[in-house]
Amino acid sequence: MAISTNFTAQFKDGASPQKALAQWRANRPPWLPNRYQIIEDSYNSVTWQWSHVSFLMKIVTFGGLLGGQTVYRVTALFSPDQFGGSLVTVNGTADPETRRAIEAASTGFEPGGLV
Amino acid sequence: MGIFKTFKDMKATAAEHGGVPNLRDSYTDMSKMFDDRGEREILSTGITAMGIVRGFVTPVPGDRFAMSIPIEVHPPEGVPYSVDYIFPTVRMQAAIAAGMEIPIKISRDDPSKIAVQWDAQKAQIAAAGGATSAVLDGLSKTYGPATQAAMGQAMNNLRAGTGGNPPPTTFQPDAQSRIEKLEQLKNAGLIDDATYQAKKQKIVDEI
Repeated sequence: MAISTNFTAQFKDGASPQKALAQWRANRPPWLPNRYQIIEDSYNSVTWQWSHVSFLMKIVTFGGLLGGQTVYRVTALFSPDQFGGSLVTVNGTADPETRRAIEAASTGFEPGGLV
Repeated sequence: MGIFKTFKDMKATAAEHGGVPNLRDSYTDMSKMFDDRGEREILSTGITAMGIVRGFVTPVPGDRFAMSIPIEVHPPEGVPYSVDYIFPTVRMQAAIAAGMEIPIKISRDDPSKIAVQWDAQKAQIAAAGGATSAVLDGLSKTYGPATQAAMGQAMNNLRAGTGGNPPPTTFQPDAQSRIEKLEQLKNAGLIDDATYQAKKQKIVDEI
């Protein structure tokens, strides 16, 4: 069971959307831990995922066989800004530690789901 | 309260859909509901592309667990083409509406088969400022020009003093009255016979 941890954050990148997307794919942003792995690409975005089963849930659910998994997904979407660079919108769910790191690093942060 | 209310609500909702199914039918429904219809395979191995939504989500007749929406597919190479995208309802995670540009993947085996990348679509909606903004942006792209043309015509009509309505057609007497009027003019000597014949022929031609 996952507690709602939806958020939207924004970043600026001096490179064009295509270049910024390639750079973020090749070198993950410093605020995203290595446990998050790329699971999907689109023409203008990349999505990372971390599937987590807590120690307690592993015991209760026989090592996660009966569920108890929390799946976090973070998507970075690249749009052109008016200066030839990119506006990067980071949206999804993340564990509290990663979420705090994203909030600290971003130029704008908004908790909550889609409105 | 609690579990009793939940069961009561379940029974009432099920009644709206034909009643509570037996165990076998429940399992069949669950299987259909969670059938991804090949979407995960397309998402895993397909070609990344952009799609433009050309309509609205509608139920698929005879299929309770799928929805349909027309999408114009823009492959990385080649010309755009249209598909009627039928997808499992449970996979829908964000709004899609006419005019939106959405991230999709195209099957390598069958280009008519696509799958929407919902995580990326959610990010697109967040970037647009929320679902309402994203939907309105799409509608504006699709229907904006036609709406603006209609508004422009209405403004012109207002300036012409017709209160925004199309200008009324001018009153035109019927052909017989017009010919009688012509005869009166000829008899009064105001027009000659040649002019009378020419005008009369013109009125007859208009009938």
